[in-house]
Order: sequence, then C-alpha cells, then structure tokens
Amino acid sequence: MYTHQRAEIELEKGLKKLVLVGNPNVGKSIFFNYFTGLYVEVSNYPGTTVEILKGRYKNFIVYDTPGIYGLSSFNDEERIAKNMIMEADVILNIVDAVNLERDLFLTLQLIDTGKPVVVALNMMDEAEKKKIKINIERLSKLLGVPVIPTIAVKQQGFKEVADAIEKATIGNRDKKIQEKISTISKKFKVSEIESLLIIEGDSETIDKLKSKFDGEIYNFDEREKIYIERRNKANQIVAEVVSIDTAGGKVSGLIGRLAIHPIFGLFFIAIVLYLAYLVVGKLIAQDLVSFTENEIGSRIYEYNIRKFVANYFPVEINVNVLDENEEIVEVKNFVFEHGLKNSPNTLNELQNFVRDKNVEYEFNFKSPVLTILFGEFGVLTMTVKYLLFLLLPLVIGFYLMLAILEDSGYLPRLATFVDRLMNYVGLNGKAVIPMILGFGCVTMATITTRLLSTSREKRIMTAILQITIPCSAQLAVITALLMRAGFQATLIYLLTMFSVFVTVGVVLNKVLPGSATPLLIDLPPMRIPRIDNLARKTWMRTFYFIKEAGMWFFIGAFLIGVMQVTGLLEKWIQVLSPLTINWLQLPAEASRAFIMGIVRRDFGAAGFYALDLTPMQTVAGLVTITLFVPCIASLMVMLKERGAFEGLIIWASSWIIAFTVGGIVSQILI
Amino acid sequence: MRRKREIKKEELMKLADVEPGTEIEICELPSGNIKTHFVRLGVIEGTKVKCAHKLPGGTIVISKRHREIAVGSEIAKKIIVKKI
Repeated sequence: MYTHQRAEIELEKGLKKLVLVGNPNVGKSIFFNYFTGLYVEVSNYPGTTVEILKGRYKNFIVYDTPGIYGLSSFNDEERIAKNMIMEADVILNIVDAVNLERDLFLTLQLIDTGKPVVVALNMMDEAEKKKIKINIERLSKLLGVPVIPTIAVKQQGFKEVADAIEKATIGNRDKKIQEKISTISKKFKVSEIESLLIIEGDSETIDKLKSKFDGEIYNFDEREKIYIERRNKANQIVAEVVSIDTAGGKVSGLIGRLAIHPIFGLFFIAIVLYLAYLVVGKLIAQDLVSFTENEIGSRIYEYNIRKFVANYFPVEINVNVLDENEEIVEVKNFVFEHGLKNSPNTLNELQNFVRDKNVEYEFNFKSPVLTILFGEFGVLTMTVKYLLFLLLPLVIGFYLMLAILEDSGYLPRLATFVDRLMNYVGLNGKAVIPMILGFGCVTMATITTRLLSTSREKRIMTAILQITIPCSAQLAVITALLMRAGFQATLIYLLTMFSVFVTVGVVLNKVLPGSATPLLIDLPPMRIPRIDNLARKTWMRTFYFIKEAGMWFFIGAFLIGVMQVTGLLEKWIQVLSPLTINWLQLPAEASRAFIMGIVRRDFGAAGFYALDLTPMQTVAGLVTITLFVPCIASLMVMLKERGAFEGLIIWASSWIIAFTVGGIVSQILI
Repeated sequence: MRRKREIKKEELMKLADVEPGTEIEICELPSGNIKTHFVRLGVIEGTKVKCAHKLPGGTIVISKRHREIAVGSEIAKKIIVKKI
C-alpha cells in the first residue's frame, strides 16, 4: 500500500506539496478548483476507487483528499488521506463555520502533527444566517495559525487564503503531546507526524515502523485519552470564540427532516426512485440507448467497419429485407470469394437487389480470425458498440444520479433509512449504493463494492449483485417479455426473485463469520448540488469505469469469439440441452439463449423473444436467466476484485442456483 | 439517600429506548472504535443531545445544535443515556 503511495506521488523538485484537508461536505473541491484551474490530474489510489486529484498552483503541487473526521486508519479513505497528509509541506484545513465544534477536532490534530497549517473558515454566509458569530482573531490566536473567513461558493476570501499559504506557520501544539513526540522521534528516528500516529495507536503506522522499535514492546493505547482531551480542548475553544444569538434554529431544512422522517421518508424514497427511473431507466436506458446502439452502433459503426473489411476478404453476405414493422420478409444470400472489390458483378447484383428496399446485412467472414475480430461477437464490432453506444450513456446516467444523491446530502439519509433492512442480509446502509448501481450495470456496481468497509460486506454484496440483480440491459428485455406473459406471471417472477435475493443474503449473513458494520454517520444538510461538481464527478467516475472494465469486455468477447470459431460454443449448448428440456421444460433452443447470456446478459433474455413460450414457461426461463451467470465482463471484474477462488465459487453458485430455482419454478408451474 | 439512588437508576436508559423529541445526556459510550468516532464527531460522555427521530427498525437520529448524527440500532442499544 505504502510503497505505491511513493510511486503515486512523485517528488517534483523545487515544488512544495499543499494538501487540502477537511471533514466531508465542507466545500474542499471548490477550493481545489480555484487553486488548480482546469489542469487537474486524476488518478486512483492503488487498489481503491478513491480518486486523488492533483494540480498546480504557483510553486505548489496541490492535492485534494477524501473528507475525513480525523487522522486514522478506519477505512480506505482515511488511510489515503493520512498518507497524503504525511507527505504534505503545507496543510490547508477547510472548516465548516456552522459545525466548528465538530471540525476543530481534526484541526487540532493537524496542528499536533507539527506541519504548517492554514485554516479556511468556510460557509460564513450560512453561519451568519444561523446567527452564529465567531471571533476569528481570537480563534486564530488560540490555534496559533492563520484563520481566514471564506464563502467558497461566492469565491470570497480565496485571495487571502492564497496569501496565507505562502507564510503558513506551525500552530500551538499540545505541550504534553509535543514532548512525547520529540522523545519518540529521537529514539526511533521517525518523523514527528509518524510519532504522533504511534502515540495515538494508529495500527498502520505501527505496523510499518515495527522494525525500528528493535523488538521494544511499546504500549500504544493512549488514543482514547488523547482524543477526549483534544475534544474537550475543541469544545473549550468553541465556547470561547462562538456566540449564538438565538437558541439555534431548526437543525436541518424541511426537506432534510422529511427525508428521514419515519413515514414521509418512505414517500421521499419513492419519489426519488421514481424520478431516477424516469431519467435513467426510461430516458437514457431505453430511448437514448436504443438510438445510439441501433442507429449509430449497428447501422453506422458496425456496418461500415464490416463493409470495409469485406472489400478485401472472402465473405458471405445475407441480405434481410424488412417490412414496415422491421420483420424479415425475404432473405437473399451473396457470396464473394475474394472480397467485394474483386467481384464487381456480384456486387452489382447485390446493389440492384437492395435498391428501394429496407434491408439489413449479415456478414459471415470465412476466416476465423476475422470472425473473432469483426463477426457477430466481434472484439472490434460488438464490444466497441456495446461499450460506447450502450454502456457509456448508461453508466454516465447512473453516475450522474449517484453524484446528485451524494452532493444533495440525500445519500447518507437514504443509507440511514435502509440500514435496518440491509442488516438482515449482513450489510449496512452504505450498501444501497452498489445495489442501485447494479440495476444499471453489474460490472460497474461490482467495482463500487469497494466503498464498503469490510471484506465480509464486499463478499456478500458481490454475491448478491452477481446472482440476483438484473442489469438494465436485461431489465428492458425482461419487462417486455413479462408484459407479454401477463400479470400473474409477472407477480410470480417478482416474488421468486425477491425470495432468492433475501435467501442468498440471509444465508451468507449466517454462514460468514462476523456481522454488519454498525451505522454511525454524520448527516450533512440537504443542498442543491452544484453543476460543475456533478459534471466533474460523473466524468471522472465514468472515465475510471471504462478504463477499469473496458479491457475485460474486450477479453471476454475474444474468448467467446474463439469458442464460437472452434465450435466449443455449440458443444456447450448441446450439453445444456437435456437439462433445459427435461428439468426446465423449455424448448431445446432455450439453451442457446442461456449461453448467449454469458456474452451479454440481454442476449440471453432476448433469445427468449423468438421462442413461442407459454406465460409459465416464460417465468421459468426468465428466473433462470436472471439468476444465471452475469456477463463475462462482470465475471472478469469480479475475479479481479474478489480473487480467483472466491470469484469462481460465486460464479459456480450462480449456475447451480439458477438451474435449481428455475427448475423448481418450472416443476411447480408447468 | 436510598431514594435518591433509586431515582438515579431509573433515569438511566439505553439510547435505543428513548422516545423521539426527548432531550438527553450521554452517560456511557461503548469503548473502542465506536467511541473514537463519536469523540471525533463531537459526542462524549456528558454531551447533551436531542433524540430527533426513531426509524422503523430502531435506527436513531440524534441532533446536536446544527447537526444530525444517525446511530444504527446495534450501537444505540449499547449507549447509556439519561433524560434531562
């Protein structure tokens, strides 16, 4: 972990490191944007989804860190922020004037590290609204560092902050702690900040420096004592510098209160989910994607790339003539032994045939290599189309929705609301994020399971995602099929899926040692999100997703292509046939749909379209296909996230569960 | 003397059992990481807070001046408070 850190943040000669630190939701990003302008490098901390932003300001390299309440190693974000603070030359600590009491704990801890600190006292306008008066001079004197009042959203006070950074000083450190720090840093030859973390019992720092202690057993358990003293000091300072005119107004706005009201909260969730469904589910997933995928992806991109290749290589072209309803009414086959360029006569014949007709083309390349690259599941045809014209708009939509939920302050409230429900399946409220994202793209959601704090939770969440949650590509087809099958079928399908979801979660919760991480979160006030922040977050995450998962889509397509060319795919379909016919009581062709589901989950469901199924057969088929293995890209990502062993267990379970449950449903219903 | 002590005993209760809208004082936090986090958020033994909401399932939301903190039901059972 730590060695990566050094590689990640390379030393640039003659430049100082300015690190922005603060509690969550204090407006750090606005400061960062002000200092760095547009030239920002985004990288991810190795092995995490935590983004690190880096930019330049005068002779400083500026780093943004995740929001934290203190220096410690309770989770990934804290570890990363802590490691970045260790490297800092100057710390800009952004503090929320309204929540000064809470934020001062971190400020005092930063001052105790012995690094130069500047405090930006942000949200002064909100403090004024709440009739909070702060004696800034006195606060600055008590802390021993510059304190600058700012209103970040109005860009007020930035210039003064910039000036203060140039002459940042070390503040008034706690005398007792300072003595201990100098003793330890001399004795073990470690830096002052490392000494502080050792005294406070930071496990990561102690593990890292173990070798330096020369086998000396040191008793580091002063954390609680130091923390309580620091907290008392913060409270004293607040008592001295803050005066409130009235007895404090309402805690949070009406919306914030409604959002966690036991009854109205439910309505609130319903409204939010419905709006999200309208925008992401309907507008993007159906209307926009059907245009980008079919028009741009199939008719323009795939057609042209295949036509270009067909110019020079042996190919067989099937022309499907379509009527007004896009139904195939006639098929004609043309063979070009040496490519289009070398068979002008056949090409003429083809052009005459298609004149004034609505047609679509199927290219069958003779060479296996070309089939793998440009065929039906071609690495350069299907995968590119899938990634750019189907997944990309969808992922952008989902990440935008997530950014809105985050920035508006609703997400922690939603997590609070569903926490108890999530406990039943061994998760805490935070797990609602990957769960929601799963309905967009399971691959994307599998990556975001990293948000969860323990590996136990990541394990349960990944299994639930990969086994039970249908992604949006599938959802569209499933919805259409269920519409056809009728209300009763839909109800049975929903009940079955929900029971499996609960069973998987409850069983894993029972079997795996440990329990859900208890919920303890600070609820930020609800705000209107800022467009520039939304855009930046969405863009960063989307870029990261494509970078992280894109490659696996290509590798998956390549493997499937190879299987298709070598006939393995057909073999597999035959092996599954008896199971499909006797146990699931579906037509033999359904097994092709199952196997196609490995390539892309919606292919699987779409394969049922063409089959003539009774409503109950539809239910059995859809249950199987939904529970069945996720697409190959999400399998790859899962193997990477959870390791080969665990990933394959989940993968095998999804086969077993899909065919068991699907079969039971079928035996009961049909 | 004895009566006083009895009253004191009655006053102590778990945060999980507090009715919404009640003003309370935190008397005892479970030690370990949970306590550490509470301390950072500004809640220590002796802090006065208000129980703002009680959600179905036992999650408690406490408010303190301008802030709200959500406490999962498992933690709320381990926190000892008294009414003010």
